[in-house]
Amino acid sequence: MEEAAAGMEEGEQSQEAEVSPALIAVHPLGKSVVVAVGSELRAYDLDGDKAISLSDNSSGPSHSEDIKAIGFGAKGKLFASAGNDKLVKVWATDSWNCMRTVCSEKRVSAVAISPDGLFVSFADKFGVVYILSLDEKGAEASADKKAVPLLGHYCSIITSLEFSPDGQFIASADRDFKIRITVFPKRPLSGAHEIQSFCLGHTDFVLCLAFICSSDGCQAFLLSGGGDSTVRLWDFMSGSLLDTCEVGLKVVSIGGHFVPTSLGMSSTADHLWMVMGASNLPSHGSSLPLACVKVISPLQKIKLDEEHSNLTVLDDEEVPGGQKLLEKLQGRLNVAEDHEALEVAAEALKTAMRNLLVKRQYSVANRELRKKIRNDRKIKQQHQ
Amino acid sequence: MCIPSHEKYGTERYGEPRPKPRFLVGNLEVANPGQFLFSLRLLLAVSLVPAPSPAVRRHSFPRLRAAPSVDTAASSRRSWWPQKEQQRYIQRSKVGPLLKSDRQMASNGHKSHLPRKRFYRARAHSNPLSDSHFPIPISPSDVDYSQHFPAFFPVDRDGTDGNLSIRKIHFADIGCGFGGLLVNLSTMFPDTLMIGMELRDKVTEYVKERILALRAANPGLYENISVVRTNSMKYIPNYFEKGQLSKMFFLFPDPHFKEKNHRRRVISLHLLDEYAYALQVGGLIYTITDVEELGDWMKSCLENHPLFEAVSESELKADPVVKLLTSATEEGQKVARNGGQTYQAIYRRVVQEEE
Repeated sequence: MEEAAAGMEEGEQSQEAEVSPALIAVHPLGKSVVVAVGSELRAYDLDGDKAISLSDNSSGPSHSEDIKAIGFGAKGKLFASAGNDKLVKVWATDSWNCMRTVCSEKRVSAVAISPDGLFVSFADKFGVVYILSLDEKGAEASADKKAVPLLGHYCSIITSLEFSPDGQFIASADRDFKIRITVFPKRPLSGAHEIQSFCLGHTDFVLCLAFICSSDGCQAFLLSGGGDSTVRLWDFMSGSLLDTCEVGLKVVSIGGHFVPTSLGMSSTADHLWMVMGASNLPSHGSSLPLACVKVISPLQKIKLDEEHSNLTVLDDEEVPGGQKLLEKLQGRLNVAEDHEALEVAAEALKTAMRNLLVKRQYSVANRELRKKIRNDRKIKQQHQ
Repeated sequence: MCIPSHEKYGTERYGEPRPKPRFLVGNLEVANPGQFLFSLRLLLAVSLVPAPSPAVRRHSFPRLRAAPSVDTAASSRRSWWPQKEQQRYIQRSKVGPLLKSDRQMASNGHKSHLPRKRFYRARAHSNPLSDSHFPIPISPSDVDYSQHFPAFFPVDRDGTDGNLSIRKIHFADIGCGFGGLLVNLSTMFPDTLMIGMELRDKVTEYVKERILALRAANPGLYENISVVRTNSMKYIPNYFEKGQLSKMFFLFPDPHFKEKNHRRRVISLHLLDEYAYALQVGGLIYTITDVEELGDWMKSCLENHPLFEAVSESELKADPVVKLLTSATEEGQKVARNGGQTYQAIYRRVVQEEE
């Protein structure tokens, strides 16, 4: 109701196709890398040094709209992708065959696979997290079974979904500044009702989550990044904020017009994979969605006290997999030279992200004005 | 207009042009009797309005004699009113004498003025799904309760807090409406801090004024209640820590009959997770409604939730709060007046059983 006044420009914008950022995911053991741009999944086998062709045995349709969430799970055995077409697809990574396709009622905004590989959970734009059992025994019977609601954020876009490494908790982040840590129950199909904590502290939408373990592996923490350009460290058991890092101050420049839209890293952490890209670019001439992959290496030599002097962005030839990989993942070579396209993409993504996630704030005076405008408009329409 | 009627209709067919019918009202000749009757009816209706029936008059507030100064903020707020109406209403005060029930509470006979509901009229429902534009605390520690409960949070003159243990809110009335329950609970539990949460701006404003007026009329009383404007379906964790509350009230919530709108109901399986988070183990959740369908819904939600169990009949009888559910709130009184039936569900927060 209150959104009506700002409506003119927004209405025009919403008629254009939504711009989605390209995503990248790296196999935890560094076996493969996947880029999702638009409705297309592009996978490359790093071990065998060849492009992967995906196959689909799940008798479900393939992705037809922008993919919004991808991720490896269960120590790299499974891979999930989901998006605006309301489809969630689960792939077995040994054969790259699609095991399951599930229809969601709403557009899917986040997806995660439990560490034991038994469950896939996904969240929709209205804040409900669903859970789907991948149990082999019941696979035949439940092939067309719908996913079951697990928990709900009240009418808020869930931006990220993550299982804790021990599988005991599930963390969900939303655009209302909240991170909810829920106890993952033994029988999740009847819902997860016990909330361990809320991590509150972000002053804008929360965009991404990651669990990390201390070096001895006995204690886990939660990292989150948000639209307030901070990265925060949480003790997720109590929900207390341990540290905050203002990102704006510590950015390492990559140079050129490259602004990564998604990052990926294997657990060996020797390369940081970055992708920049967008689908449905308004003024982008070619029908091919734009994607540009870059790699930073070697990460292990970084010492905190040094000036990041060892950090280098690899040239296209030095990227593991070489030009063959880039051709597969980017669709074509030398995308990075196309400065104009990259700039357009960065701008379009920024706008799309803001429209989707940022809450609009109005002063009291402004609000009164908007109400008035709205009423006037109504009266005018009635007279016409 | 003087088109001869025979030219218009043709004399051949109708013969002589028919004479125009004449209607006389008194000495006046009326061209269109229908229009005349209509305007007469309007006149009658208008003259009837300012004379309400004795029953209506009994329930309305007596008018104040002295016209207080016009408060510009209030008049601008009512700028959508017709000019005449506005002037008529501004003549009167926003603050009226005590309600009957409140008058009994003002035991010392101190003269006091409570806000009058008619100036805080709001639409009966508010959209809980909309993006909120009111300020929301980032976390529970962000809320400054010294403004809500000044008597419980004394601040030294130096501006440093005394070494008092910080008191926490224990009761929450979700969708407190006009605050009837809060006012009643306040005297029943004078040492417990409680807060009402209401989504409608004007109604919150009314409750705020009402509490301030009650505090002014009864020094030392009503210091433990306050109200915030918020969407409790979205922002409960922003106000309360885990296990902070001992009682939560959901009295006469919006029924939302359509299945499409069931997600707007304030009790649902998913939302109960959040209420269970805010409630301490052993804490109680009170729900009541006069809509049977909603009563069933709330009961089944609570019944199916693993963190809640029903409170036994004998405990309910011993609980003085239960009696307030039907009698304290404005909605409850309305239902009782109309002889309606109520459906209540009172459940306790428990620890999930291990299997």
